[in-house]
Amino acid sequence: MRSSDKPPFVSERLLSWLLPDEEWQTPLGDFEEYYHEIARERGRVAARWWYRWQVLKLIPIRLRANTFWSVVMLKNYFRVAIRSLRRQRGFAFINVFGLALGIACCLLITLHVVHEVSFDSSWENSDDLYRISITEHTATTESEYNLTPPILAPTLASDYPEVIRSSRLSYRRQLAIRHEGDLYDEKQMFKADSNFFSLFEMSFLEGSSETALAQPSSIVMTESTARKYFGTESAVGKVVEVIASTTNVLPYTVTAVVADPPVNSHLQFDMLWSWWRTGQERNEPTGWLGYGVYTYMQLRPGFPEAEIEAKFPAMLSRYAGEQLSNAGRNWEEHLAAGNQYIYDAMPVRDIHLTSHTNWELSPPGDARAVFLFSGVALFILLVACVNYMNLSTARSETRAKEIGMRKVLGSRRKQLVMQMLSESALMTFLAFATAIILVVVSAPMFQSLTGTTLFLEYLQSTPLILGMIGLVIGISLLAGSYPALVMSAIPSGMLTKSATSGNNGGVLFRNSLVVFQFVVSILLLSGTFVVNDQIDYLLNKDLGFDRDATIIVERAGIFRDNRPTFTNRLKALSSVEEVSFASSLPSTSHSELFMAPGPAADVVQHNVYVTFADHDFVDALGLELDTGRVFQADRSSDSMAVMVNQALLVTMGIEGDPIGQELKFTGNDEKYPIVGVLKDFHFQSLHTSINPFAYFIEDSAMGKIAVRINTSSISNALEEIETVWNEFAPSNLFQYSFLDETVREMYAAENQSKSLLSVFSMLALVIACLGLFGLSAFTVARRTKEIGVRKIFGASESGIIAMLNKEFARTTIIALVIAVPLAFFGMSLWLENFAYRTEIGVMEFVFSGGIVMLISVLTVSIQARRAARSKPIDALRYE
Amino acid sequence: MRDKLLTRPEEFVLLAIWKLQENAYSLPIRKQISETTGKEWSLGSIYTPIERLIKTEYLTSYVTDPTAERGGRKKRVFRLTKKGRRSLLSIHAVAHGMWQGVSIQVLETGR
Repeated sequence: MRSSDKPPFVSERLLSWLLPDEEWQTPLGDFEEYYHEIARERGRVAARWWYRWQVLKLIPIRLRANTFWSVVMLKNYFRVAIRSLRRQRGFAFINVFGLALGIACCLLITLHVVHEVSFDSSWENSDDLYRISITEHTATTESEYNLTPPILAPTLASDYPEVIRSSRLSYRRQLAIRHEGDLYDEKQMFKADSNFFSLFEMSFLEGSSETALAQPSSIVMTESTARKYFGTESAVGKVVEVIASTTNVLPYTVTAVVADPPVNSHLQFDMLWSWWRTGQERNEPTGWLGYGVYTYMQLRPGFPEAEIEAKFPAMLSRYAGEQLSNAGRNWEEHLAAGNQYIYDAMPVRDIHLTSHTNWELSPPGDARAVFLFSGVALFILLVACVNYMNLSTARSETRAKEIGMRKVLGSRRKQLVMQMLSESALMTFLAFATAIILVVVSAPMFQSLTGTTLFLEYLQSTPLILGMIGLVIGISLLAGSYPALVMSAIPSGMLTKSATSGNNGGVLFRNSLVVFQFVVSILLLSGTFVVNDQIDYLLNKDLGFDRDATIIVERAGIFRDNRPTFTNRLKALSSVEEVSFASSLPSTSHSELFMAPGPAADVVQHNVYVTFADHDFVDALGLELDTGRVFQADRSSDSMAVMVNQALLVTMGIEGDPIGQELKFTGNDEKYPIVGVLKDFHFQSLHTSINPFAYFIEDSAMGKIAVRINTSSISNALEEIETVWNEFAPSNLFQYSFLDETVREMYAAENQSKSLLSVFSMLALVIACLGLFGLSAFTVARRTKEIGVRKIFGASESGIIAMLNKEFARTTIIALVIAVPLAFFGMSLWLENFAYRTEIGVMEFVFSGGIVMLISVLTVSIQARRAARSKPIDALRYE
Repeated sequence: MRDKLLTRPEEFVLLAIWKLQENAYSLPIRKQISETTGKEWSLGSIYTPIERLIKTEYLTSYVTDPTAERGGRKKRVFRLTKKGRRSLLSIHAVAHGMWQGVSIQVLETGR
């Protein structure tokens, strides 16, 4: 017989698959023999077709037979599943709700994390857009800027072919704008180059990207801003007045309206306006060593940023070197003295999480927190899954009788496995549905509670949905596999004998899972305590200045012409104690200038944070004098003198009596003698150590006013100040903030971490407790008989409670031993983020361990007490 | 106790199996019935009565060693049980009784 003369392969396979089981494989042989017979009589082709036709006819019959019974059994599985859920309602609730809670937490965090990492990825050319940032080293200091020289953007575009285009944005302006007599306070205004919208494509509701900023004195509004000004009317062509000072009001024409910038972008603006007021461009500053604008560039698609970064040193030595030599200095010597300028092209997608300078366009995110919370999400999910598995396996042991009965009645192993898995799938699915409802319902509350933004639309995205489906399958398999595989393998005789016998391997496994849950709970709890402590420390540390009862009034620059009279009127108010005009105040951003000790060579420079203020600055802020004197109004020579902090003396290496020693700005020969030294105070956040600080006298109206008010009547004081303000500047809004609040705002990210951590550590604890509650219930159930026997032999109620607690106390203690060093290590890492930090105390661990211990004892005792109080006769009858 | 009367296909299958003896598996059974009745019987129409007869214990079966012409597969050979043999006897008796007094000649000519 030829080997090729075989029935059609596919059909044969199909047939063998369709036949019910091993015993019935003989027809396969029958068919093959018949096939050969037909092949002999009518030829191979006919035989093949006959064979195929036979198989085809078989399909609907077999299918009907198979599915009919599968459906019947499936219905039975679900009915039994629902019955057993109902019978153990409390258990089912704990199990499904615990898992749902865990999944909901994980989803919430995921949505938050996705929002954080999605920043600036939606621009058309996101991958090729960069912002230039500069790291500047002097001999002693290192500073990071995202502001750049204004000349940089045009130079990039003209000198480097790989730069497709570059565009600039000014630093943020806060101004008042008048329209039809109404005053509006605008905080998010930026000047922008006309090609800005070619880099950042936005959709235009009115106007177009070509005409938006092409003309001088034009202004582009976002949709919501335009609605604020003009309601539903068309905005293009309307004129608004920008109030630059009390006497200087500039008309600007609205040329376009764009959609609001995406929430997940670092570019947050309400208005963009053209650089120039009039037709001719004002002289562009050409300096390379002064910074004032944001520079963005678009590289050729796929061009590696490292290559262009490598060209920046040459660019600097050419242009900045030229500038220095014009001033009679030498670039190489300048570099040799320890000065260094490192230009980086930062992808716009990285800005939100990695750029943390003082001049960010929007509050930056915290990569470390994102990482931390991803970890927390994963842990909570793990805890919930572990919990779910634990409870499911524990419960399955009590169903040994049912499984035994099924086996006796002829259930095949495959069917039992299917039953267990479908039951597990049903519960997992229920949990997921609950979780999604929980997320949708709690999202608004979660956002306001934690001050985070959630990317809710992401719930409908394919990767997340696929992930969730995968998770449902994974969890049902994991949780269902133990009862499915282990229980179905035990001979039925064993199963029916005793419904409560547990195997020790399972107990050990479950106990180690409980240890894991408690480790995570203790980690999160002690982490929360440490974060709390650190924030308390930050907020309550003596900062070296008086932050209570001081308000900061913004936009004081408008009193250019009448500052003395305005100040005197304010000081005359009984509610006002001190008034000081200053360019910057603690917790606001400071100018950074290069200074050096007077006798030093020209190449030496140090980065110094500078405040220009009037004579009342020290008094208004309650700063303390270390040595020397404060500025005095009757000494005209003080306008050429300086007061510094102790940190400046250390950084610059000024030794001996500092009074009378001189400082100078680099590149300038004017010398400023030190008249007084201030004690160090924290003019910046406690993330950094105290930097060199210098205070110069400046009598013109600086941008801010610090007003120390009488604490007895704060609202009264504010009202009086506003009255005086309106008298002097009726066309400007009176705007103020409390100094202690601006200080608090510097720790907004930490505060957010704190509230997120508190919420999630509580939830993790709740989940772990739900698990423990369920597990102890099953332990007690398993040992019912033992407890009964013990009682008969005279065991006391408290003795039995103690006995049951001992088992769980051991797991808690093991968890504590594992968790404490982990938590200590992790939190030390987190604290390194701060220059000033609290000590990690023993109390945090005692507390979190104590809480976990207490809750576990309580949970177990509730179960144990019930068992201990039951009549022994009931226990003995129990099987 | 009298057994339930068998259907025609069941009767044919039992007779074919009895006659085929050691070779009584599905294909020869089908062949014999087809040849005798002069009508093509499909394998399926053989399996169905066989299955029923096995269930009602008129037949038993055993599996032979694999043979090459069947693609190395075993065949299932059927054999009548005592109950099967008895039922054939009673069928024969009933048929014989029913035919009593019927003249073949008259049936053929009609008169």
